[in-house]
Amino acid sequence: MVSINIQNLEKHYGKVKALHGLNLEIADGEFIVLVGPSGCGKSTLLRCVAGLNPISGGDILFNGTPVGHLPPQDRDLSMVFQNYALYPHLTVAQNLAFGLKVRKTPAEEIEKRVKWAADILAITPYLDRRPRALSGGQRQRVAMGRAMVKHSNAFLFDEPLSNLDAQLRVQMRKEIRALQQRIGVTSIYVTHDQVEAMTMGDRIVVMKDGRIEQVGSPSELYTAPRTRFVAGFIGSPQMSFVTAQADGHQMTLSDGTVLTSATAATGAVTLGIRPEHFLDHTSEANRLTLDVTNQQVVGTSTSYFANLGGGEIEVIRQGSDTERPATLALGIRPEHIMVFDKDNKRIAA
Amino acid sequence: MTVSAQDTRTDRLIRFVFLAAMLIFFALPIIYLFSTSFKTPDDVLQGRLLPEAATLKNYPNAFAHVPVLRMIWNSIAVALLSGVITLVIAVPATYATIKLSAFRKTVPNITLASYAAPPIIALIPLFYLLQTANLMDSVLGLALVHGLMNLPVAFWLLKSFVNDIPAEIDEAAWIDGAGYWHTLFAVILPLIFPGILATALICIILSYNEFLFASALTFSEASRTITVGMSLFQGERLVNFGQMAAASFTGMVPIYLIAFLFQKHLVGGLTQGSIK
Ligand SMILES: Nc1ncnc2c1ncn2[C@@H]1O[C@H](COP(=O)(O)OP(=O)(O)O)[C@@H](O)[C@H]1O
Ligand SMILES: [Mg+2]
Repeated sequence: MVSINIQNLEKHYGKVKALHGLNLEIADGEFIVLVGPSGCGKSTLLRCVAGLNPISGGDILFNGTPVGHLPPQDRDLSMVFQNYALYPHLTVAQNLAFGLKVRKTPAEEIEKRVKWAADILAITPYLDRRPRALSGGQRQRVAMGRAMVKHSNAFLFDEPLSNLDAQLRVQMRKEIRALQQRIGVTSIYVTHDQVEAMTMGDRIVVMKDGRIEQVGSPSELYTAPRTRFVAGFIGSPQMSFVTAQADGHQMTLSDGTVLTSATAATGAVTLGIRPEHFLDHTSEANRLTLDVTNQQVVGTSTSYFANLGGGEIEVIRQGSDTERPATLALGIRPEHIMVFDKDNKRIAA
Repeated sequence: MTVSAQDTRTDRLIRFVFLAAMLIFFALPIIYLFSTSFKTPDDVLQGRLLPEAATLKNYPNAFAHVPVLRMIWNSIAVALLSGVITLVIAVPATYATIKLSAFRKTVPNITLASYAAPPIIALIPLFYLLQTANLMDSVLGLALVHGLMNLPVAFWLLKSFVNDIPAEIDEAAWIDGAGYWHTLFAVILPLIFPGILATALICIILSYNEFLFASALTFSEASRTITVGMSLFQGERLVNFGQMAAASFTGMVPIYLIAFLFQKHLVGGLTQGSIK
């Protein structure tokens, strides 16, 4: 198990620049999640670490040793693919044993490790089956088993759960995380799903257009996003944004509403408010009465869509409200109004 | 919509007539050949389907005139050996081109171009090459030529099978530590086996039927193939069609046997992908 150090990593596909000089340090045993919209370069970064894509510049270090020039065979990693990529002609047991056999592990050691992994993953009954005779969830476990048996330097996951149904996905998230903690292996996990990122990662790397937008713990990204992109990407439902004119702490919206933010600024800004941060009308400094345009009941809470400052914002309140109210009387704390400058950077409070 | 008994009966009739027509179309030449092999020279000139006075003499005479069995044996040896040569080169070449992107753009084009070129272009260079290599007029020499000749066909057939295997399967093997040859033998070969079998059969059949190179590059009994043997019945004065038919029919047997025995693999291999 290793620490992974990514230094000025660049990757071009011909003329297409996929990664623009990334820097990232991953501690030994850390579970780090790469998240971002489709096409932002997550898989490219992961595949560069794996050695599957040759790098165009910079380097990758395992425990301080440069490995950027090594082929995938010599990096001693484990990878779980989105389509699992199990060997179709081999049984489950042979799939798990393949990498160990390649490395000339003694037969009894192979048997021991296959049994160990199969026990943990509860796939012992299927050891003699071929992948095509397994369900999606079982294949996923076999793919995990193939990664586990090798005692490799690090685990790499490329959207391993996106082929599973929602229920199984939630369960496998927990299992993968528990397994990773049990083994203590350094892991890089790619997903486009921010909920998956928030629930699994020790730290999250938010990527956009081949660049790292922000690195931080789930709570850091939630409470202190550095950019409007991160603020909008992290959190569910999404943060609502309205434009405003700032004069110190006073933010004037286009409809004349004035809000007080804990952050001071001047000129044109964008305000960001998370739907779950709205409170009852009476309790707070910022009081709003909003026209409700739409509403959805989501389990025990209700999502309202309302007009504010010429845009539509989302408001989450507890309780399942099936009757749509004409207006909502709400409060919002000054520290819950984030302010972004015209370059979409968040202005610190 | 319900299908009445009347409809199915007409359907069946139409299908029967269609299949019968196809069968006659494809079987008639073979039946005619078979029948001709029992005709006297006079009968042949009549041009009727069935001989007037059937004779069994054509077979022993043909075998006496030309060493038919020896030539069939040569053909089989050349075909099998060339099949092996083709696959030994084509399988790793296809893998390297498709999966390792070695000359990914050029190889498909070059193979296609060389296949499209008339083979006669290669004849004289091959003639001198074989002479220099001391492989003129030998089973090995012709097998080598056929083996190389069939490379484009094999490449294009194998290409689709190799393409069918998701890239992640190779990548998983590499990450598991397997080198490129190891991956080829332990992962790719088992997965494209139906394709390899079908490709082998097609290359063997192509070699068995080949005439141009065989006629130019083999001339002694030790290496002449049956396709060349067939042409020997064209004497200076007249063609002995009865004997020629007898020899042709005998020469057809091995290839029909192969096609018949392996037809499941041939059709199955070419129509179904390797990954299911
Ligand atoms: N093999 C490739 N050839 C050319 N461009 C590629 C290739 N793979 C990825 N790209 C491009 O690189 C960018 C990043 O892709 P990728 O890493 O797959 O994104 P993600 O995994 O975040 O969806 C995209 O613009 C994509 O089109
Ligand atoms: Mg991806």
